[in-house]
Amino acid sequence: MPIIDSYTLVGSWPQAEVDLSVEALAAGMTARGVAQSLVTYTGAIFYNASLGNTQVMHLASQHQPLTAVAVINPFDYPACLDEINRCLDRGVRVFRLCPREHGYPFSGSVGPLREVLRRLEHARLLLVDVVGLPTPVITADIEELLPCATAFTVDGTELSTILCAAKNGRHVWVETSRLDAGGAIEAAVKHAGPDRVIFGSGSPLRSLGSAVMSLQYAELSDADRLSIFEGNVQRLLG
Amino acid sequence: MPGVDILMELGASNWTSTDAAKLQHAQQRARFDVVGVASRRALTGDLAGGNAELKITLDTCPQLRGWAVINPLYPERSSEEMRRYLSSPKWLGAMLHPEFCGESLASAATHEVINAYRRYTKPLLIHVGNEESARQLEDLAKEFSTLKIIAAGAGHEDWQACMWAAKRAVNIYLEPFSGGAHRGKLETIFATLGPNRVLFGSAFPLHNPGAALGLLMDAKITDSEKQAVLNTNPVRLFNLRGPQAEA
Repeated sequence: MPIIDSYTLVGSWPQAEVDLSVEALAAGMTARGVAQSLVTYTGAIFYNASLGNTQVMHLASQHQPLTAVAVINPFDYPACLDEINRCLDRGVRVFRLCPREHGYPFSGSVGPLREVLRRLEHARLLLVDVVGLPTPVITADIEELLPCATAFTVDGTELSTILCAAKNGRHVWVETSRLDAGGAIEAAVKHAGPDRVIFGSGSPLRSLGSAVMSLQYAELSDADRLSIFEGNVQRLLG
Repeated sequence: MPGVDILMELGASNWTSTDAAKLQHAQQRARFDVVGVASRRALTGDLAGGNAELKITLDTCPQLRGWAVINPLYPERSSEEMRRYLSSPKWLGAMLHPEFCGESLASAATHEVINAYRRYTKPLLIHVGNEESARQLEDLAKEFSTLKIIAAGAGHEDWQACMWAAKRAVNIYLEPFSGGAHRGKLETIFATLGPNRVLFGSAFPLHNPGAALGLLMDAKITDSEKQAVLNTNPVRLFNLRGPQAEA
């Protein structure tokens, strides 16, 4: 079963000594049969979005199975709007917002975030990791502002908020990397729909095997599992 | 994958719940020979009701073994629960969850209940969810040096603090599988502690069993070390005759 991993990282990690090299990512992909990875450069999160995005675009051009994910920090306003245009011009279609690391609530009340979301209308997929954000992890007013399919990384305790948002917002998706609570993936499929759940691992920071086997162990039909592993993201990326 | 899963839970969690049939299904699907089970009802306050419910489940499922939940805030009730269950080989030992009962591992009440537990000479399972608990666990392990203590979750995000506590107190065993899928965690623990004090626990239904199994399968440790985690270590610690024979 081919796999597209929507959440991978390369670079270095400030909070732990972990090998986040391209080689480590590639080795994991080979071992677990991952055909394509959507990859973020950690320097774009922790240091400088523009420099990190340039780095990941270069990596993706060198390594066929990697797709670049550009990081946008709304608190770099207004430079972040130029960064969106630069990335779109260079063919990037997947973007990541990092409210936890960049310190803002994922809420329509954040002016620069509203601007960023408006400017991302030509993106295909937006990735947002909200694990560990203060409750509520997103506010209800954000749903109507999402410009494209937006996959939220959540754990078992935050899943309810996202499932409620998914009920009302057609662009709200769920990414599986932190859904390691028993029954959580099944709940996401049941309530958001099998076509709005995508596979992610957080590797090589987190165990790829753990993410893959969590999905394999989930009580799902083979068709739904296949959609989550591959089909849904493939459809989004075109 | 044959072996021992030292911790599953009976009862409801956020997104699913277990009964005897679901626990057996999980055990058979992962091909575990023996599974240790604690009652979530007991962990969340109803000691007597939860442990009794678990006993009924154990009586119907030969592959399951019990953890009798104790709570330092209920010392008399905890002593009674120990007396009721712990002489039977169907029970692996007692379990304490400091976060659920709101009582730290450093408290006098916790020390008192553990002191009463010592005479049963069975391992004690303690959930360790952070660095502070890991530090308190180390003090506890040094004070009760003849007691074998298993750190369930092994500190979660603070797994390194828990690992160093186990390095300094040799009666601490680690169950790191239910504490998150940090890549490289198992390799570092094995390099620091060696292979003899690491145990496998899935914490199903709180966690998806695939998460723990995937972490073990992808770890860059030898097959014999994986076998130690799943089989040799728990067989020795719990005096099982061998999982196959036990089942």
